[in-house]
Amino acid sequence: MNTEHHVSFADAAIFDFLERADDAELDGLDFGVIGMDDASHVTRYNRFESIAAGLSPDRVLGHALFTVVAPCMNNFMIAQRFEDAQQDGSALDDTIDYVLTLRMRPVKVKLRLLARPGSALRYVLVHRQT
Amino acid sequence: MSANVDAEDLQPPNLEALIQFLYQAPTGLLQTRPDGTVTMMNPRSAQLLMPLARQGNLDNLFEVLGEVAPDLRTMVAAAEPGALVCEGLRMPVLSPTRSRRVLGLSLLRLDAHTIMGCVNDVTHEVELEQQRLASRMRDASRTDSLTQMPNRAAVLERIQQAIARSEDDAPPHFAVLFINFDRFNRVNLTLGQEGGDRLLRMVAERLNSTVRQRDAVGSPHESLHTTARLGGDEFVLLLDGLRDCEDVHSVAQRLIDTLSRPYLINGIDVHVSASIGVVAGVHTASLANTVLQDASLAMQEAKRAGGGRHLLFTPSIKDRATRRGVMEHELRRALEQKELFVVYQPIVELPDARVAGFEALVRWQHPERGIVSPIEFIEIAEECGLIGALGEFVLNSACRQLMAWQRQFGSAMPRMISVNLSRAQLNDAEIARQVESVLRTTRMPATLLQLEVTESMAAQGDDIRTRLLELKALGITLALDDFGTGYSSLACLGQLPIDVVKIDRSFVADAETNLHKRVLIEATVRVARSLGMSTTAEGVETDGQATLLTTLGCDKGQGYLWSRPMTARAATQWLAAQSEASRPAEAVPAAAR
Repeated sequence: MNTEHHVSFADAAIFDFLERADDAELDGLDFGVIGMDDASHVTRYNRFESIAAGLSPDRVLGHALFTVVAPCMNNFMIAQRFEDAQQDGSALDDTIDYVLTLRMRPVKVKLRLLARPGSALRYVLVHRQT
Repeated sequence: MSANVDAEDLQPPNLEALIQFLYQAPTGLLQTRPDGTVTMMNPRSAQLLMPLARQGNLDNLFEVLGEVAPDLRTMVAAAEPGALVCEGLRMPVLSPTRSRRVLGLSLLRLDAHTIMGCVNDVTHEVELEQQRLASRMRDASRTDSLTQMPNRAAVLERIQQAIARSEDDAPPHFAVLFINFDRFNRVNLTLGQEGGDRLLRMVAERLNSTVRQRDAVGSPHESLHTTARLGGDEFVLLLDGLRDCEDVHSVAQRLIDTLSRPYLINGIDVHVSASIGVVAGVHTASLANTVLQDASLAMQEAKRAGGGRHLLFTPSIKDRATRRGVMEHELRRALEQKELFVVYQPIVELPDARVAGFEALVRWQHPERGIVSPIEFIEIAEECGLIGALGEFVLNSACRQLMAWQRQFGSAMPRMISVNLSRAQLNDAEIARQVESVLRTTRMPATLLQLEVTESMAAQGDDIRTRLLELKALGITLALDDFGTGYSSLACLGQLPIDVVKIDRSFVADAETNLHKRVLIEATVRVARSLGMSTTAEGVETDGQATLLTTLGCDKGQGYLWSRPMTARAATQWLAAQSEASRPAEAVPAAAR
C-alpha cells in the first residue's frame, strides 16, 4: 500500500493501477482522480480532488461529469477527446495544459485523459500546478 | 431588515446555488484585477478563451487577448470606476478545429480593483450581419438608385438567362428594347438636374405601367419582363416569354406613344420623344452585353432616322456602325495629319456675274479612298465630338484665305466668304465666342463673314435663336441654306434672324420647265426682299437658269455655270482671271501711260 502512494501523475502504467486500486488507494494520491463510466457519469472521485475542488463526493458521484460537475471540461479539448476515443474504439492517454474554473476560480492544471477500449471506466487525472 | 434577509440569503445552500448559477450560465463571465489578473471565471469563459491561451494559461486576460485586442490594457486604465471599458468588442479567433469564430467582449470597471467581464461567441450574429449586409449590397449594386429599377448589371443577368433559355428551347422568344430619349440634354438644360431627375422617375413609372411589369430584382427562373435603367436617359425593356415576335412591334409603338405624352413638371408640360432599338427573333449573339450593344446600335439608327420611332436590329446596322467606327478613327487621324482641306466655290452677282464671294467647303483627301464628301463624314464628326475642331479648321482656313485674296486683289475681290455651320456647332453655347476668336486671330472684319445654317436647324427653339442673335451681334451675315428642302415655310421666314436666303438646287434645276418651281422661287424672292433679305440661288448650271433667276429678281447665283468648288490655288487663279476680265476699259490705257 505504501508503494501505491508513490504512484505519480505521469506514471506510464497508471491505468492498470487505477483499474485495481480501491478508494483508499485513490485517496492516498497527491493528485486528483475522476473516474467515469461510458455514459460519463462520475463513479470515482478521490479525496485530493474533492478537497481541491471544494466539492464533496456526494455532490459529484453519479452525476454527469461534463454537463453537471465540470462544464469547464465540456469542450473539444477534453470531452471531445473522450468521445472520439469511444467512437473510434481507440486508447487515449493525453496530457494537456488547462485552466479549470471549478467554483469560478481559474486554476492552471495539467490534465491527463485516460481511456482504454474494453475498460469500464475512463479517467481524468488533475495535477494542480503551483 | 433587508440586511438580515441578505445575510440569510447568502448562507449556504443559497450561496452554493448562486455559484452554480454563475457556473452553469451559458454566457462567459469573468472578473479580473486592473492589471488583467483573472480572479474569477466561469467555465463558459474558459472554454471561449482557451483557443487564445498559450499553454492553457488563462491567468491574465490582457495576455490572453494580447493579439486580438492589444489596446485593452490602455482602455481599462483609462476607464473611470463604474464606466464601461468596452461593449461587444469583436475579436476574431481561429479555433483548433480551424473554424473562424468571433468573440464579443464587454468589460465594466466596477471599482478601483475590479473589472467585470462578459464574453460570448458572436460568430453566428456576425455571419447573419454579414449576410444581411451582403444582401443589401447586392440589391443596391443591382438597383438603380434614382428609379429603383433594376440596373445594368441586373438586366444583363436577365438577358443572359433569356439567352440560355433560348438555346435550350427553340425558337427564342425574347426581345430587348433599348430606349433613349431624343435630345434629352435640352430637357436637362431647361429643367435643371432636379427636374431632369423627376422626369426620369416619371418615365420609369410609365415604362413599368406600360409593360405591366411583374418583375423585381431576383426570381431568376420565371419567364418575365424586366424594365431597367442603364444610366442617363437610357432604359431597357426585356420582353421574355413572347408568344410571337410580332408582339415586339406593338409593344415598342405603345411605349413610344406613352412616353411621348407630355410630362407635367413644375407646372410645365414637358414634351420629349423616345427612340427605341429592338433586338428580337433569332439573334446570333450569345452574350448579354452584345445583345444590348446591338439594341443600342438600332436605337441610334432610329435617332438618325429622325427619332420618335423604333427600329429592329439587323446585321447591316452593325456593319454600318463598324464602318462609322473606322471612319471616326480615320477622321481623327485626318485632322492630325492635315488630310482635310477647304475648297471654294464662287458666288456671283446676277446678272453680271461679278464675283461677290466664295462658299468654303471642306473636303477630305483620304490616303486610300481619295476625296471623301462631307456628307459622309460631317455627321460622324458631330457624333464623335470632332465637329468643333473641324469647324474651327474650316472657318480659320476660309478667313485666312479671304484676307490673302483681299491683299492680292483689293478689298472688293471678293467681298465675302461664306462658311457652313453644322447642327452640333450651333448647339454649342460657345459658338459666338469661337467665331469671334477666329475673326480676331485672322484680323478679318466680321462684315466679310457669312455663316450658313439650314432651316431645320434655325427653327429649333429659343436657345438656337439666342445663338443666332449672338452671332449676328458680332456683325456677321447669316444665310439660310437649302431653303425649300426642310420644313420650308415662307410664313416663318420673318421669324428667323437671317439676312440671306439660299434657294436650293432642287428648285433651280427644273425652274425653266416647271411652273410650280418657278412660282415658288419668285414668291421666295419677293417675301425675302419684303423682309429686307437677299437671295442666292444654288446649283445654277445653265445660262438659261441664270437668265430666269435674274428675271425672277434673284440677287446672286452659285453653281457649275461659273465654277465648281476649287482648291485655294485654283480659286486664286480663277480670281486673277476674273480680275483681269473685269478691269475697267479706261483703266488699261491709264496703266499703260
